[in-house]
Amino acid sequence: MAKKQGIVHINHKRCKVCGICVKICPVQNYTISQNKLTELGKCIACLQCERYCPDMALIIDTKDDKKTPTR
Amino acid sequence: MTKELTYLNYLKQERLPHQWCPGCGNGIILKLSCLAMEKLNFPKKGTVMVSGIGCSGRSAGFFDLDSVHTAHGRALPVAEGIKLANEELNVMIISGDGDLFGIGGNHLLHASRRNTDITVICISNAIYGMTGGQCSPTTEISSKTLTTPRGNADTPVNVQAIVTAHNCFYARSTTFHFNHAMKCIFEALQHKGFSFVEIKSQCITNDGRRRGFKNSYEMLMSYKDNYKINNSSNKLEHNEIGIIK
Ligand SMILES: Cc1ncc(C[n+]2csc(CCOP(=O)(O)OP(=O)(O)O)c2C)c(N)n1
Ligand code: SF4
Ligand code: SF4
Ligand code: SF4
Ligand SMILES: [Mg+2]
Repeated sequence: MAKKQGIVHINHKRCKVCGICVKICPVQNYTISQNKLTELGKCIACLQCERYCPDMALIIDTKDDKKTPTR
Repeated sequence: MTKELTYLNYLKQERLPHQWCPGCGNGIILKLSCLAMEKLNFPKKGTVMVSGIGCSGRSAGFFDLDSVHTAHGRALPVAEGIKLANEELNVMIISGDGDLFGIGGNHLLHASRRNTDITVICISNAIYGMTGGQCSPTTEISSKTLTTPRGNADTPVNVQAIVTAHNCFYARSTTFHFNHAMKCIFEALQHKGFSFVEIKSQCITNDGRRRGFKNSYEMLMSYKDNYKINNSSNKLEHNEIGIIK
């Protein structure tokens, strides 16, 4: 089965580093270091972070990559 | 190409980031309101947003709509006046629990009695956020606030009872129940007559922190644990969310 992949766009001008996305992401795609949010390229495009970010700072683009093997 | 968050068209994007604290639920409710308006294709011209005073009272100013930031507690009479002056307009309020039930409580009684065709979205964070975390009319019994350091002794106001006593639309949801909350606003906006949506929302800075929450995520999850969706009854219990119309 094709596995969904997401491309994460963080708007750092809006992000207040509240940590909601860090904790809500099912694949731990985010970390915070030196008061800055970073993403680790593991996104499966569940869109939870985009939905709950109170600062509209995240956009997740979805791409269905047929070549990505399922885990 | 990066997808566009089209709901943002209802906001003055140059005003973002908004001034609310990191993790504050107000931003989620701003987003929910835009999504519901977008789903209904609300025209930007012809829709008016009204707020009272408080952190939540700042909401009106972020919309790319005609908006009024009224005096504390007075969002309801101002919105009623606008609607009466021009019935073609969609008139909405976003304001706080202190604003709508405390100082503005009397207006709620009469706006619902008159069944004025406006939609109220209450950011119900159970606290006076802006002024530092005083006990509000919706603070739960035994909850610790700045003014109830040993726990609140008083029963919270029964908004459902007030609004439904006049056969108006009442819905309750939380910032965690994102789709449910959007549906509540979506249906309220279509209701002819007075509609009231109470959305439980997290204030980490002046409420959660004092009650032992480490961050706003924990508060969001507490709504998941504490509220169940009721789709069938015509009365919501204390721990239930749903729509009564
Ligand atoms: C007439 C008047 N009385 C008191 C105040 C002080 N005041 C400002 S905001 C506020 C409470 C707001 O609480 P709420 O409506 O719940 O909004 P929140 O900040 O929690 O979003 C109070 C008492 C005021 N601005 N005007
Ligand atoms: S939820 Fe939004 S504001 Fe909070 S850390 Fe993530 S991107 Fe930043
Ligand atoms: S879309 Fe889902 S998987 Fe991707 S970063 Fe957001 S929460 Fe994580
Ligand atoms: S004080 Fe509370 S309600 Fe006000 S912006 Fe901060 S978190 Fe939000
Ligand atoms: Mg409040």
